[in-house]
Order: sequence, then C-alpha cells, then structure tokens
Amino acid sequence: MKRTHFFLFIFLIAFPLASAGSVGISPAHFDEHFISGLEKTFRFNTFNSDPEAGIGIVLEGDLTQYATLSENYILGNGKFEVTLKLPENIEKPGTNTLFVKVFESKNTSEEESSGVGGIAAINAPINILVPYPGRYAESTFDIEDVNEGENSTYTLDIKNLGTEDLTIKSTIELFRNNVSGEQLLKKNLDEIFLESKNVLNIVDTLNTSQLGPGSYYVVATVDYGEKKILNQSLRVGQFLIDIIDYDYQFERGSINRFDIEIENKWNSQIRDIFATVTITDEGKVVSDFRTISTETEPWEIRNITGFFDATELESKRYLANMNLFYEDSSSNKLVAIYVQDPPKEKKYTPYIIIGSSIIGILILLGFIYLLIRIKKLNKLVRKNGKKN
Amino acid sequence: MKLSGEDMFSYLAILVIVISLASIGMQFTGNVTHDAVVNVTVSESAAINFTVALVNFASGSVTDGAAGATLETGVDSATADGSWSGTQDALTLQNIGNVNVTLGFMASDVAADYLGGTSPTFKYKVTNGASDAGACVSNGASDWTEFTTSNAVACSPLQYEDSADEIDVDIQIYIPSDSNTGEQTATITATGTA
Repeated sequence: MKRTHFFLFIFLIAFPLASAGSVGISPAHFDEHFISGLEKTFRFNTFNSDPEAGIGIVLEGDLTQYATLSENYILGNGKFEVTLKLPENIEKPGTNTLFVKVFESKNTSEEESSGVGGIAAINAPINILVPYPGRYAESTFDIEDVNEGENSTYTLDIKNLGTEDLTIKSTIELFRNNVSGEQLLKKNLDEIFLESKNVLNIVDTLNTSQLGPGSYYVVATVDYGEKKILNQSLRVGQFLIDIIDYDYQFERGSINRFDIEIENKWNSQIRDIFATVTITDEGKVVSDFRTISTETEPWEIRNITGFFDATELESKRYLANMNLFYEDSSSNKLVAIYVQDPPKEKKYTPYIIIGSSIIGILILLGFIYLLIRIKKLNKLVRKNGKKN
Repeated sequence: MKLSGEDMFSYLAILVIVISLASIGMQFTGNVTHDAVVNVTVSESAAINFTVALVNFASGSVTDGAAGATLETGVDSATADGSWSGTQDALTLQNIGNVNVTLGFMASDVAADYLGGTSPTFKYKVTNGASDAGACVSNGASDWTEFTTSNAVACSPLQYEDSADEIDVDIQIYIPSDSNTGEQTATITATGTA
C-alpha cells in the first residue's frame, strides 16, 4: 500500500497562546442560606495580567435560570454583578451551586501561531444552602500536628443545615495508634444550642504536651440526637532524622549512585542534613564519601545521594557505616552492602559456530548422498546399455 | 539640720515643678497606652496563570511506512516516526491567588475529532513544578490521561502557597499516518474552582 507523505499542521489554540495568560476573580466564593424569594446582588472583581486581554464571563451549574449577569465581557480588569432572584422553593436540599466562570477570551484573528496551548478559567461558586427537613448538621474536624511538649490546636465546625434548632454535645477522644488502642485523653465540650442555619466554629487546644513522639488517633463525636463521628490522625514530632531505606547492591568496577532515604520526624523544617558513608572490609576502610547537603520539610521523606567508588573493589559483602548529620545532631546506622560483578553480556558466537558447523556437515552429507545416488544411477544406465 | 526660709522656698519650687511636669506628662502619655487597632480585610481571590501557555510542535509529517508518530513534551520530536524536531517544554500553570483551587482540564475536541485517522491520542500528564513539591494534591492525572470535552479534575486541590503552587502539564499526541491534514485546531481549558 502506498502511503502518502502527510504534512500536518498541529494547531491547538492557534491564537494568542504564545503569551502567558492568567485570569482571576474576587471574592473566590459566596455562601448564602436559602431564603424563599430572596433577591440579592453579588459583586465580583475580575482581572487579567494583561490589561489588553479580554475576560469572558458566564454562569454555569444549578440556579442559572434564576441569575443574571451585568457584563459578559471585560477588558483587562473590572467589576461586575450577579443578581440572583431565588424562587419560593428549591426541591433539592443541601448545597445548590451557581458557578460564576471567568475565562481568558481571545480574539482568534489577532495573532496566529501553531502549537498546543492552554486557556485559564476560574469558577467562583455561589453556594446556596437549602435546609434539610428536620435535624441535620454537617461537621468538619481538624487537629494540628505538634512537636513533643506542645499542645495541639483543633478546629471543630458544625453547620446546622436542618430546619430544626439543635442542642449539641461534643467530645474529643485521643487514642494510641488507632481507635482500638489505649484511650489517653477525653475532653467533653460544653453543651451548645445552635439555631437552624447557624454555624458553630470551635477553636481550642488539646492538652497533648504529655504525649510522647508518635502517631495518635483522634475522634470527635458530635451528638445532636444523631451521632456524627469525625476521625483525624495526630503526629507528635521528635527532633530526629531517621534512615528508612538505602541502596545495598552495587556494581564492581564502576562509580555507583548511593541513595539514602531519610524521614524528618519533626513537625518543623530541619536544615543542613548530610551523611558520610564509610565502607569497610574486615575493619579496613576501602572507600568513603559524603552526600550532598539538603533540608527537609516537616515529616518529609526524601533521598540524599552520594557516589560510591567500587572501581577497585572485589565482588563481596562489605559493611557501610552511615553517619547522618543534621543541625547539631547526628545518628548512625551500620549495614551490610554487596558489590557484585556486572551482568555478563550474552555471547552468541559459540552457538553460531556450532550451528553453522552442523548445517555445513548436513549440507556435506546431503551432497555425498547425492553423489552416491548419481553414481548408482550411472551404473544402472551402463548395465541396461550393455544388456540392450 | 535647720532649713532656712530661702531653702524652704527652693524645695517648694522644685516640688511644684515636679508635680506640674508629672501632671502634664500624665496628660500627654495617657493616650499612648491605648492599643492601636488597624483593621485590614483581605478578600479571597482565586486566580491561575499559564506562565508557559504554548507548546509548539510546528508542522511535520509521519514517516513513510510508519503507522504514526508520537510527539511529547520533554522528548526530542526527532525520535518520533516523523519529520518533526526539537524538544518542547511542558505547559506551566501557577496558582497566583490566595486560596486553593480544584483544578480540571478539558479540550474542545477529543483526539478523533482533533487529529482524525486510526486510533489517534491526545493526552496530558500533570507533575509538580521542579521546586513545588506537593503543589498538586491528589493528582488525578499523574499518568497519561486522554483529554475529554468535559472538565476532568486533575488536582484536588492545586495549592496557593508560593513554595508549592506550580505544576507542569505535559502533552502527548499520537498522529496516525492517515490523520487529518492541514491546520488542526483544539482548545485546552484549565479551570480552577475555589
């Protein structure tokens, strides 16, 4: 089949994408409780990094039929309004969202260039919270990791999204490792009356200063006639960089990359981290190196890398003494490593020679067989000739 | 020790001066002890920026006899079965607002409409910027993902802190030998939702 030589001009947004583009909107969102027949105007500011670039504005999602826009195009930056006139009733309880979308609006005829490009867009939601019939609340719970000796701050948000007012009792319990672990703390919060459509935001501390380093499990229970359980994990940090993994197999005759995986166990950044590695064979130092220096964010796991020179070493087991230094501290790990021969390249020459020889012998045998057959035929012809 | 009348007047004068100064001072310093409060309200602003907004593979052709050519950012196009050349950088997107956004991608056309031919593909892959570890939380496009015409969430969320607010969006297209020819146009839209 003859294939044609195609010339393809790939144009993905073939217009003004050669230049960087941005778009933004403020406020980023509105949250409003549903009120029957409510008419409200929401004011937004939109902006583009290029004052000459246009911004398109559209409405999407639920409630678009009840909303109108003051502008659908703005050059550079400017203000616009969204007017929402809610109906008497919305059937779907919970959050009904109207998205106000702003996007880079580009004139395709202005500038042309081939390629694959992107357009930026932002959705600013207007969330209308329609109350659920009866008792209904939604809650979120967060607790901050700490270092040993510190108290942790927690946040408990409870939204009464039902039509009934609520009396709320809440508790916070802390367990070792997981929910089936030993209970170490329990805090009963004051009983609170929360009217329909109201939000309760509790920010308080939990006495975690007595806890040792490690992982804990925290359960917040929100009881308003129905119980809601919210789980979170809490880590108590220790000023420690731990070696959690390392390379241990290397190739003889080359300089090998040596990765050491470390974990920051502290709930803060640790700087100036590096390792020195000494390789010994029966107590005699055969190689040593130092890794690059680095820093780690709280709880971060990352590799630090050095280079191990095994050009002069035999294939065997060695000991590697890894000394890890960070700020004013250090830790140490003694491990076994293995230097191995590089993988051998498979040589096919002997197989080729053997195979060729067998084929050659077979051809020769065939040739001899044919010669014998020809000789026999000649003899037979001669005999027949004499008889005649 | 006996004080003379002159001394008494001198001490009295000093006492009057000290009391006067103290009372003046108290009036002057009374307001200084009040706390000054400056109210500033910073509105939440959602904004994203394509700092690299174009990947230009330019024009080229599929090699005779090849089923198709794969072009990919970060990979020399000369290695594809085609006449394209050069290495293109990925698109780069930054959250320049002060709130996290849920980020999704969509294209105006799927591969079949955009490129045509036998089994074309039009994919993207999201990675954190070189100095922005953790920018894209819960990355839904960490492997090559085919573009669709509806918004598909990639980052939940794309964070806004300066140290972790930038992602690279690699593009990969497979152009079959029997694809459409001429200028092919599609649009990629990155949508951030606050």
